[in-house]
Amino acid sequence: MNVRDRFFYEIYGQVKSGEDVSLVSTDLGAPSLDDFRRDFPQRFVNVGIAEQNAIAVAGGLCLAGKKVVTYGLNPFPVTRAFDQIRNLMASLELPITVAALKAGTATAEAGMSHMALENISLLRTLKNVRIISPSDETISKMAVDEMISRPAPRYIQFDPFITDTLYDEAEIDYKKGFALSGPKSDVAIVATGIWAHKLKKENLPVRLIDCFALPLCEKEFCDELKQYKRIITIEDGVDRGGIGSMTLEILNDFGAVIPVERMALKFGNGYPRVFSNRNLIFEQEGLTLDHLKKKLEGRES
Amino acid sequence: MTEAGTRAVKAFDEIKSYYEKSFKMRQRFIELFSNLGFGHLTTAFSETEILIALFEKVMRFDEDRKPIDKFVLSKGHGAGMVYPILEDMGIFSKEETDEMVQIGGDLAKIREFVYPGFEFYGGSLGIGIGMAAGLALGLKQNREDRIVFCLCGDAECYEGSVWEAMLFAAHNRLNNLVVIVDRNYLGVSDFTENMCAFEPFADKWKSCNWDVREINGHSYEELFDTLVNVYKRPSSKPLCIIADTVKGKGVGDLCNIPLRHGYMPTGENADNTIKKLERFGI
Repeated sequence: MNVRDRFFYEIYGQVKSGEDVSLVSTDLGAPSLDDFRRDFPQRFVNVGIAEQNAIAVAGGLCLAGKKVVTYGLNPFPVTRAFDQIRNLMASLELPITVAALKAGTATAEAGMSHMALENISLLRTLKNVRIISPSDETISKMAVDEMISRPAPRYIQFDPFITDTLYDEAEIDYKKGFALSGPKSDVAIVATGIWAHKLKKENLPVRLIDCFALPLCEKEFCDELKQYKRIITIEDGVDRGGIGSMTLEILNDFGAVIPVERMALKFGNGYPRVFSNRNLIFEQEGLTLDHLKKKLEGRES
Repeated sequence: MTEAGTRAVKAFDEIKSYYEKSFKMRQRFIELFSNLGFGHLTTAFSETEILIALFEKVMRFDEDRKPIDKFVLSKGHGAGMVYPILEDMGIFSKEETDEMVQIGGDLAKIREFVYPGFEFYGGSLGIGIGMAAGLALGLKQNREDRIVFCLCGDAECYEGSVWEAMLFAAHNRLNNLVVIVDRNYLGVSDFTENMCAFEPFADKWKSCNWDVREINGHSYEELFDTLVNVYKRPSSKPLCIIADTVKGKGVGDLCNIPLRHGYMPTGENADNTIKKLERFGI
């Protein structure tokens, strides 16, 4: 099951058990929402394609005592409604969960307008908003548990190509924000979302650090990084402000000097001007497993 | 005097006392915010009667003086006038208000108690009406008999999110939502009708399926007549009250002048402005 559907089925289960959760949609549905809409029509509020209003309405519903999830198509919940997120979620700390369909270049076919390239970078500038990028169903499920047990502002983005369960719940420390897998090695790979998912399945003989929730525990993250001679970060988003930037900032703030290579979208030749898809963009930007393996072997800088 | 005559005199005296309150609130606003060195005098003065009418006459409070009805101040630059009014209501003492309205004063304190106007701080324009709509929907779902009042600026209505919320509120039949637009006809740089005309403004709200009333926003008689009736309104539509006001009302030479939006007199200018304050009404 994909991570979005797992998230919505878990919410349905929570509401069935008596949790007061409302869902504010911006003209989006999902097969996993059909039961919710049928059984709890009052709790499904559709504002139309109006991302700013979705966050504002969610804020009002929170003031009326409800747990609220907004549901929208990326990048718009962040890029169009950033001011609402900034004022209502970061500043007033209203416990809204912004659930966003599609991550990074997942829908590159639809063009530049529909690629969520900067969402993580933008949201990282805000305090109090947790950014969750599930790399498997377990993390998606645990996001709902956390939303119910600890109401707080959250943003969660779902990559439609992430469809498996890769972690046991016991392996995941949600508070820490990152999960480790793979053997200890000279090189560590720091990844998130689709890349964490791909690499975990690839089972490379290196340590993989999956940053599934930001901000993560910086001290523990830095202590982990200090064990490696070299770090490669890889993400499906722009290089400025993403997890590569985050890694450099944390190393710098803790006074650790370790070489970091950032694999991310740089668009050195400008934004795509052709009919494109995720594979083509990854190829053009050097974001492929082949490139990563060459880097690991020291055959490519 | 007959019984009807006695009632009329009493009503006259009550209205007169509200106009006197208007004068005092404007005076206190200048004292508070000239000391702070920052404020939005003209916008605070266009909404003074609206806020006094709401807080001191219309909205319902419980026995602990906590508001039963909700109030969202979307035009956050008008928040200054709330302080003298809460002080006048006895919610804060003069000393507490002085302590709050200063550099380093505790902005969040007023929110802790959820006094009207501080459900949410406005200022980032166009957000408050959507929040008020969400709150009204949530209260309806909870079967709570409360009215949500929301005060917007007219120039705030240039924000697209206002129109998103207008459609949403009408579609969801939020008849527990009352939006009051402080229609002072001025933005920051110019008159609304010169920048990008709103008129026919009432028709636009009506076409979005709202009930609309147009009143004089400085007249307590008209404000009370309209606002006290919101509790027994036989309509499924949300209500928009377009309150015709004057930006800077009460200080003749600050009225209706563009580029006075962020004006706040300090020192000697503040003393002179207080001297120039005009009484109006009965």
